[in-house]
Amino acid sequence: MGLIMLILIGTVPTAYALNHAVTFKESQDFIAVSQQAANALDHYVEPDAVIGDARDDVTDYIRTKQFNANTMLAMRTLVNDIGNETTIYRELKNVPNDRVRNFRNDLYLVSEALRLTQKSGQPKFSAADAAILANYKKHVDRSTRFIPTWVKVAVAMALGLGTMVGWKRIVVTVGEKIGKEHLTYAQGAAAEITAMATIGAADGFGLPVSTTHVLSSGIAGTMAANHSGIQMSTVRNLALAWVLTLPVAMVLSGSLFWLFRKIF
Amino acid sequence: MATASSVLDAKISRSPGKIGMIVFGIVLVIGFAYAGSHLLSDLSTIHNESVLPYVLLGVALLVALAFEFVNGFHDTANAVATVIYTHSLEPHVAVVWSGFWNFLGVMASSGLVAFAIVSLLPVELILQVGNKAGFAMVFALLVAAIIWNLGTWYFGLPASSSHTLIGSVIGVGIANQMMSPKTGTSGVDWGQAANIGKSLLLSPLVGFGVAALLLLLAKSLIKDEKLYRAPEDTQPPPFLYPLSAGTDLHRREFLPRLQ
Repeated sequence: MGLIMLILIGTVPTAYALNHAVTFKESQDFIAVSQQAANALDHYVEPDAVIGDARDDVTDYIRTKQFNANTMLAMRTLVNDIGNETTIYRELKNVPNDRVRNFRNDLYLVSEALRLTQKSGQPKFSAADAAILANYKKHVDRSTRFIPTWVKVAVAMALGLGTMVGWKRIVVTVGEKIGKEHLTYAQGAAAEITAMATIGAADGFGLPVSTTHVLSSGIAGTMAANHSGIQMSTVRNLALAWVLTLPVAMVLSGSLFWLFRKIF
Repeated sequence: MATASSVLDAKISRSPGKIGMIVFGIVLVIGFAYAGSHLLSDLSTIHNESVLPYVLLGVALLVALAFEFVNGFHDTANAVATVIYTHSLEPHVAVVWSGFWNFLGVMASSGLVAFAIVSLLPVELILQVGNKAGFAMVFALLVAAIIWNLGTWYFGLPASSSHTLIGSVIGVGIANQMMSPKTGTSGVDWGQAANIGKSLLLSPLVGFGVAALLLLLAKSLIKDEKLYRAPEDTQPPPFLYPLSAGTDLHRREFLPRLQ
C-alpha cells in the first residue's frame, strides 16, 4: 500500500500529497506544536553551524545517516519553514498546487530525520525535548502518511481475489509434498502452534520471520519426529527458493530499474 | 509439480457453488466500484490538460494491484494448508475464512507497515517520485516482485513476499547508486539483508525443532491413537483446531519493527 500511495502522490500530487482530511483545528495545533519543536531543536544547534540549503543538508543526513554540525540547524530551519507556511495557508487543502510537492517533501524529510535521530540517539535529546519532538513527528506523519479507505479496499480485494485463484499450488506443496505420509491431526496442530508462537516471538526480536518458512519447516519436523519420512526433493527446492529470494529479487529489480531509466 | 494427481481433489467435498460465486462476484463489484468512485471524485477536483498523467496513473495502479493479487497466491495459502489437510474446514470454506481475515488485516492496518517499506528506499527517489526516476523505481519494485512471486508459485514453492519486497528495495538502491555515483554511497540498508539472512538460518531450524518436540510431547502426554493417524475420509479433528488465519494479521505487523 505504501507503493500505491507513492504512485498516487507521483501522478496526482494535488489530491494525494497532503492529507486533506486534516482539519482546520488540527492545523492550528500543528502550528503551535511546530513552534515548540523548533524551540526544542534550538537547544542542540551547534554554535559553529553554517547556514546552507536546509533541504539538501537534511537529505544528505538521511542518505548518509551521518550527523554533522550543520544537520540540526538545517532541521530547525525546515521545521520553522513548515510552521510558517502552515500559518500562511491555514489548512493543508489550501496549499497552492505548485507548492504541494515541495511542502510534502519538507514534511517527509523532517519526519525521516527525526526518526533517524530517535533511532541513533544522536544528538542525545533531554526527556522533555524528546517528548515534544515525538509529538511533533506524530502531527507531521498525520499530514503525509495516510492511506485513503478506498485504497485499502482495493488492495484487500486484489489480495482476496489472488488467494481464491491461486491457493491450490501452495497448499498442495505444504500439505502433501513435504512429508511422505498424510498429515495427521497432531502433526497439523503441532506445526500450526509452532508457526503462531514463533512469529509472535520473532516480532520481539525485530526479525523478518516468515510464516511460510516456519510452517513448512514445522511440518517437516513433525514428519521426522514421527518417522514418516521427508520428500527430500521438495525440501531441496524449498531451501533453494528461500535462499534465492533475496538475491534474485535484488538482481531483478536492479536490472529493471536500470532498464526503465535507459528507456524512459 | 502438477496438482492434477493431488490428494487435495478428494478433499474438496463440494464445488464453491453458484450462490457462493455470485456472492463473491457481488462483493468484488461493490468493492471495486467503491474504490473507483472515490478515485474519480478525488480526481474531479483537478484540472489537467494532458491525459498522460491519468494513463500513467491507471497503468501504475493496475500493476500495483496485480502485485497484491499475486501476493494473495502465496499469503493465505500456507495459512490454510494444515487446516485443510486435517479436515478442520472444507477447503473452500478455509480459503474464504482466511481471505476474510486478510481483509480485516488490511483494513485495520495503520499504514505504519506500508510506509516502513517506503522509508527503506533511496531518499532522493522518494523526493522526486513524480519524475521519471521515481516511476522507474516503483515499476522496477513491483514488476520484480511479481516475477519472483509468480515464478515460485508456478513451481508450487511457498516463498516469503516480504523477503521478495525487501530484496527488490535493496536492488533498486544498488542500481540507483551505480547509476548516480555522485549522490552518495550509503543508499542501501544492508542491515535489512543481514536480518533476512538471520531469519533464513533461524526459522527452518526453530520451526523444525519446536514442531518435532511438540509432537513428541503430545505423543507422550495424550494417548489417543486417532490423533496420530491420517484422518479417515473427511473426519474433522476431535479437538478445536488452532486456526492460523490470524497469523496473517501478525505478519503485517512485523514490518514496522524492521526500521
